[in-house]
Amino acid sequence: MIASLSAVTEAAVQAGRGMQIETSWLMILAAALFSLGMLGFLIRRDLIVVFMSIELMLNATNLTFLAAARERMLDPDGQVYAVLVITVAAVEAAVGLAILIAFFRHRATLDIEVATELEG
Amino acid sequence: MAVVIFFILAAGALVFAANVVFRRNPAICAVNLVGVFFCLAGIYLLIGFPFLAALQLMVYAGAIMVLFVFVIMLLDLRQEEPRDTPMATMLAPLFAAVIVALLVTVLGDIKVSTRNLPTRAMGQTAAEGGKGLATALFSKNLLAFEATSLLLLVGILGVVLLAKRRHRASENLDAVLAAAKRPSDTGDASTAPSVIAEPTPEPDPDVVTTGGGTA
Repeated sequence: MIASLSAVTEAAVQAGRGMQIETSWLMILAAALFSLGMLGFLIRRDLIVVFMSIELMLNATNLTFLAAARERMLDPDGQVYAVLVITVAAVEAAVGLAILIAFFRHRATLDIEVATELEG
Repeated sequence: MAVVIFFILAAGALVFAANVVFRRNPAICAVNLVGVFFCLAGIYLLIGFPFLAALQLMVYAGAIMVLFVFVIMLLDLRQEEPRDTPMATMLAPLFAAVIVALLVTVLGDIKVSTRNLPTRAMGQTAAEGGKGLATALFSKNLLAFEATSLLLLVGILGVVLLAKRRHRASENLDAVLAAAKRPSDTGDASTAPSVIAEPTPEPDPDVVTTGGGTA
């Protein structure tokens, strides 16, 4: 980890010299975004913000797919998976928000600690 | 130059994401999430995926965020209070820190295998990249593509079912079925439609709770 971090800082120092964006930087950015999303998923009480955290995590995984796909530019599989992930994320958001509205209609709140029983 | 823009976009994405996680007001969270999506779209553009950048803007920043903002507007949310369980609130950042350390260690040193492949297609235009994507999507991954279309269909049906006020619909259906089962009542074809058209009074939330439980 220290090696990769020092590599990043060293690369940042040399940023002005016409460098290329390293794949590991993209991966580290994706890791940070995923962890922030997971943190939000764990500590937030508001269901809608929990959903936003899930979207953050999905975006981070997409970034890893694309970072790997950039290395293999002639192999478009990474892009294909990114497209599929975006589609699944759209469906997930729609279904999740519908569940959220149904929950709000029953309980008049979006507090995640009210959702303790799995019954309508 | 591209490196400088990348670092600006990456920092922007991280700041926006932190705002999403730590701000109390859901509306502000939503606006910051749009910022994350825009920064990521810029990064996709920067590393050579213009089609994915466009898709990111249209689907995420467009469609999904509209859903989020619409729900926030619809539900009239208050600001959330901090959790009652301080233990979880203390442990979660620790957990996330461990995860970020692990991920950075693993992902930062990752080597993408480029064996048997030209590493980077130099001078590859955006149109050619899009062509490769389309070819792969509609030939080798056609099954996955069709599966997502089926998933979208099922998602639409599920959302319609979830968003409907189920108990009222089933009551109406029961009434119609009961009317249809009475063959002796001749000439009252108007019964069934009148049941449907009859305006049901707006139900109390408690009534919805008890009614939805059985459905």
